[in-house]
Amino acid sequence: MLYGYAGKLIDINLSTEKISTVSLNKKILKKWFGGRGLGTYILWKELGHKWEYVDPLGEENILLILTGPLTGYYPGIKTAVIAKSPESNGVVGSVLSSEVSIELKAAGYDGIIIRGKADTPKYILIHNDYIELKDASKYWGKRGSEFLREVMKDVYHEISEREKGRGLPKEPAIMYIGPGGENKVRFASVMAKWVHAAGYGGYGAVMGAKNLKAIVVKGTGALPPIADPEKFKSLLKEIYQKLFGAVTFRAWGTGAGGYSVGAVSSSEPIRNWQEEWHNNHEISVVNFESKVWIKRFWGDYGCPITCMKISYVKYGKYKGAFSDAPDYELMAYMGTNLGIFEPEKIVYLSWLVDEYGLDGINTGNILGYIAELFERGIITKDELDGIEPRWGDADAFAKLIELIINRRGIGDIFAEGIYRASIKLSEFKNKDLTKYAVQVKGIGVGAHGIRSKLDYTGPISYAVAVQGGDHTSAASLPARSPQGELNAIFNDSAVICSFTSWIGFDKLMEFTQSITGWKITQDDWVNEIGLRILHLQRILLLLGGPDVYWDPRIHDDNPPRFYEPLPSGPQKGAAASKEEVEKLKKRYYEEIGYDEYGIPKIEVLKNLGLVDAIKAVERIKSRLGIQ
Amino acid sequence: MKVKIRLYGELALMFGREIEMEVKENTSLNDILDPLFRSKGLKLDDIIQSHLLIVNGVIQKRDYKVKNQAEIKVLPIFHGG
Repeated sequence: MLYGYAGKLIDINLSTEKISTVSLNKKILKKWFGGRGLGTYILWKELGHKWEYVDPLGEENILLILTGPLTGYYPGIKTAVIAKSPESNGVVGSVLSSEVSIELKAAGYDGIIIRGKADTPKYILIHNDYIELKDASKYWGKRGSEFLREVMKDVYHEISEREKGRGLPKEPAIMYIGPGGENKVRFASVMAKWVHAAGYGGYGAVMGAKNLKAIVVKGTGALPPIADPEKFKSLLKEIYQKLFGAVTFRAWGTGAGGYSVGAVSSSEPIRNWQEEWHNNHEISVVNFESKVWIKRFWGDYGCPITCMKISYVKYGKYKGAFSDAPDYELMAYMGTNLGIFEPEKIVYLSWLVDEYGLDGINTGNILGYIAELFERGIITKDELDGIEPRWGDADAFAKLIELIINRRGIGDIFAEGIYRASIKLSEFKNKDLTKYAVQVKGIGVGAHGIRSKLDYTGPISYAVAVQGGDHTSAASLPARSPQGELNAIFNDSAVICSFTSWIGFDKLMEFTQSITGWKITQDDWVNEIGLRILHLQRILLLLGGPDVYWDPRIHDDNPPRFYEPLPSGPQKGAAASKEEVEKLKKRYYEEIGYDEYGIPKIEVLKNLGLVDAIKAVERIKSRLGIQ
Repeated sequence: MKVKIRLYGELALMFGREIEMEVKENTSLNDILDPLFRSKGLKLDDIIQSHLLIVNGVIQKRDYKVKNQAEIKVLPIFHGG
């Protein structure tokens, strides 16, 4: 008996419009869990043999929308989005707060496999057993809020008709893309509920490349049965009580970091990371509270933490803009990284990226990069379509965002993301402009610097991480511990929120057992299940291609900027040290099971049951000229 | 025996980022950290409301007895938002 899972996936081919379901085998689920783990396995099985030739924005890429065994049972809700990433060309397990996952489970599915490319814009409608590809031509080009309003009217009527006689159904869950994804901007996100985004990975572009505007799901059944309902109930009560104790976080959310990460930890990106310290109280969360908050506590399905807050600008030039708080990352990337500290401006830019369906982190990262090049006189106003991106000028940055999503002029280069754009601009300008790009493996680094050593990120957190600059999956030492990447892999594979999962790993395993019936120890996770997922992700990352490849000897490193000393604040002079990075990298490779070149060791792969990946390692070594 | 304590944010500014300490065998996290924090007017009772105690990568309770060469992190619960 399979507990906690529905046991099947929907398989949709957009090219042929064939829709079917595939059963999931218990052995596979026990090995790969769900979400990021199961997604990596499916991509490996289907595309692994030709990975280097698969264009992430081509028809052959496979997009996976996945749940995990704990989805719907554990407090809080997440849905996983996975494919070959157009940013890293590996696999990025990206999650967003969306009830699509619970609706899928209630409809009897653990996820969706999406293949091919539709001829014309389409959206997928799933209502229990009813699965249909529907025309989305009239929605194409619409911004997030406008699209949601219109599609909800259309589908709600249809769902209500089918539910006739059973009362009014609750609205369906919807995941969608904005114009950014439609125009295949490599850092476009998959969105839900106006402000939620699966940003890292760039999967909005994958949806856009498939001509897929949205996925709408309504399930009216029960969640799959679980192994030990009594144990589950008592654990849930205990965990809820603990999570309710997070009163400060509930009050302020991550937004408290807008001031403190800069002022206290000296690790907030400021003006394209030229600085990481500020003492500007204008960005304090209390200023957001008094000026723009209209809702203090927003939690998605089953969340006791409710760290989200909703902001709306009621006056002045930016009247009508709304966003979630914003959270810390967007305070930094729509704020300090652009030299902006005023709440209204930050809400305005956050609103724009949400409406256009862009990853706010990677958008703010590249906007900061462009502004620095402008400041240095490397890019001119004429080249930027008349825009002058000066620090603090929200209007200029808004215009740049439009230039990018429409791929107009030089915007077409920026739409390729920070890594590719910096290489192309270096060619045009005949000088190295990659040194100003604060990214790792194609992914703009999250808003937690490493130079001051006061934040949770360390010297190799981004350098060796299998998801590059993704701050939610940062590597740490000791490598084989339920912290850092192996912890993120658990959260993303069980598909739960990292802000509700800090109850201790043993407790999480106990909870997992009450759902699945599987007795998994911490040791099983860090030395087997989680490690297996990490190694397979690493192999796919190093296979890369077709336009971008990584060499760990070069690319397992920090952005050059992190080696420059901090120019201001109490931590002035602090910088990453090459020597320390090399030392810690060596330790990480040894502990995790990579060879001296950062490639998974054959014997480790054998122990993990990844024998069929050995040939892929040979392909990587041959490309890198390593025997 | 020797243990290493890694602190972050404000605690790191008060006590230093990394502290190496000589402690007796079988000492609990409580007996290591509480006197340290009390030396500057703080209490472990208050700090654990918003921090995780992590020993060699694993979250532990305050009565956990550390071993030689333990790496103790006092990490804010909500990091990386």
